[in-house]
Amino acid sequence: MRSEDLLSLFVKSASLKLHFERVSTPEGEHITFTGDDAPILLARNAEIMNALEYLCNRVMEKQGTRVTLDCSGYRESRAQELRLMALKAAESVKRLVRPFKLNPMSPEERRIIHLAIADDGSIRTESEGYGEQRQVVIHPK
Amino acid sequence: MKELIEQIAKALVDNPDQVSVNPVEGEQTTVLELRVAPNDLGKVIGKQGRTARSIRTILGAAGMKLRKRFTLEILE
Repeated sequence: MRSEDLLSLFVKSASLKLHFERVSTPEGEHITFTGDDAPILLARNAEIMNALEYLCNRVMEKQGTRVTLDCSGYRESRAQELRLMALKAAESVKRLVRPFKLNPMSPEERRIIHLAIADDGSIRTESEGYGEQRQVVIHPK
Repeated sequence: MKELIEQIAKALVDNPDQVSVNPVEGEQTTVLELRVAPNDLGKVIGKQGRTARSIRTILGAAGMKLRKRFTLEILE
């Protein structure tokens, strides 16, 4: 089974109005969804699209292929939102000289947070908790 | 729906011939009982249960339009 097979079967089983296009690059496959049911994929911080992406990656990892899914520019706008959250939280850590805990996030989202404020010498970031509950904490240095 | 879970499980495990999905239809809920080889349990559950959780998430989504609830049970 390839990622397109998984996604076609899902769209068909769920009777969703969705189409997707796949582009292969040296870093892996990028699949973009369009269609009337796009909001279903993106609800609750793209819960369903992220679950599909995770499963596509588990299915494709034997072949060493990374899969990313996107829909309506969600990945980029979410990354911008996360970077903004990171900067605001970092500001509050510096002002109050007190650690700040962000909401639990996936590894991919935590990475965006860490990178967004990695160059700031007056704070440091780490993750704590396990599984679904793992969250970034920003500390004053 | 049985087909969806069966195909995904077969793609995840090392012993696809030992994958079986048994749908148990209830009034509102259909329970999909997934059986895999004992040494493949970890493959369908995943680290901190993330694979099983992802399968449950897409099952929830798949039932929305059909107005049906599907749950996944992984049996040993």
